[in-house]
Amino acid sequence: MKNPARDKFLPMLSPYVDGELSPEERQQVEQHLSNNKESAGQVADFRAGDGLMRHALEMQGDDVDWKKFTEDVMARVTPEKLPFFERMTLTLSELFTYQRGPMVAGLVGAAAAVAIVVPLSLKLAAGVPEGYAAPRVEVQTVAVEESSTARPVVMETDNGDAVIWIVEDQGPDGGKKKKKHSGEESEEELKMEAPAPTKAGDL
Amino acid sequence: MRSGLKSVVLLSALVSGAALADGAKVSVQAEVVFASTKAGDVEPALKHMQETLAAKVRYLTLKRLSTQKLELEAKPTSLTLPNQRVAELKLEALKAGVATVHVKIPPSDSSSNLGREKSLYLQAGPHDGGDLWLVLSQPK
Repeated sequence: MKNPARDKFLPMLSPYVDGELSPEERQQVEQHLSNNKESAGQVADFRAGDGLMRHALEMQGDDVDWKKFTEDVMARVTPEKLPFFERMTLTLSELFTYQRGPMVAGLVGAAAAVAIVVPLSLKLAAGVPEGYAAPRVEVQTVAVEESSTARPVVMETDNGDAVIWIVEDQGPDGGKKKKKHSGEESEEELKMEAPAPTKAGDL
Repeated sequence: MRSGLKSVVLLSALVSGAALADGAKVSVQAEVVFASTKAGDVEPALKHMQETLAAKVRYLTLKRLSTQKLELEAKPTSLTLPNQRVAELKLEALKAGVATVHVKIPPSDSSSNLGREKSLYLQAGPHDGGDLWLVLSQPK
């Protein structure tokens, strides 16, 4: 028995399975399928056929070696290598176009690192200027003129400084004007040799 | 063979000596400081000097009269002090990064090794009721 509704929807079944109908048509077809078991069975057959076809194509696709295909395509796309400068320009251009955020962040980080590291390195390199490798001042020799009544007193402090006083010698052994300081005498020994001047200008 | 070695040693000594005489230079900061036991002001930068010298004299006034950076070399550099004494400074030796400077402030003269961030205080005679001090240190 002829069914006019089925005749109407028959051409739409295959597009329905393939998802090519508009939402309204799709709704109408689904309503028809719920009322017509023959059409519903045909749709089921279509779907089963599609599944088999897809599976068969996938199996065929797995058997094919796509490596050569890729190489052939790439050989046609890039027939010759660009010069280094142009490649770099292109790479940078693409980076700034598509990766601007990470690039800017990276550049800012690098600039900050340079700003910190370079002055620090310079400071470390300039930390000990020529001539100042010793950790403390050491007095090697001190002498006064023979005609002078003064005599030198050396004091090397705990923190590495050194002081050379010139003290007017009032004692009877004023003839002993020259003193060689070896640098190994202790501060106490050196202090012992000095009178205790207490007034500025009397030293 | 031995004479060859002697020649090398002699040549090395001559070359090193010539290097000091010709080009070796060491920078020093030379400060002239007036010190007095009379009550007054002590510049904050000279507090350390006051404490160092306090072992002998408790100065109550310390005033920096001049500061200059000198390039010491084998040839003496003269520095006229406010009390009209003339200090002569020269680089006596530079070995293993340690400079030995010779300072002559009549009636005394001395040789000292400079130290890293340390100071050498040299009394430079009386001045204006107090004392003058020449302070040599690493340039800041």
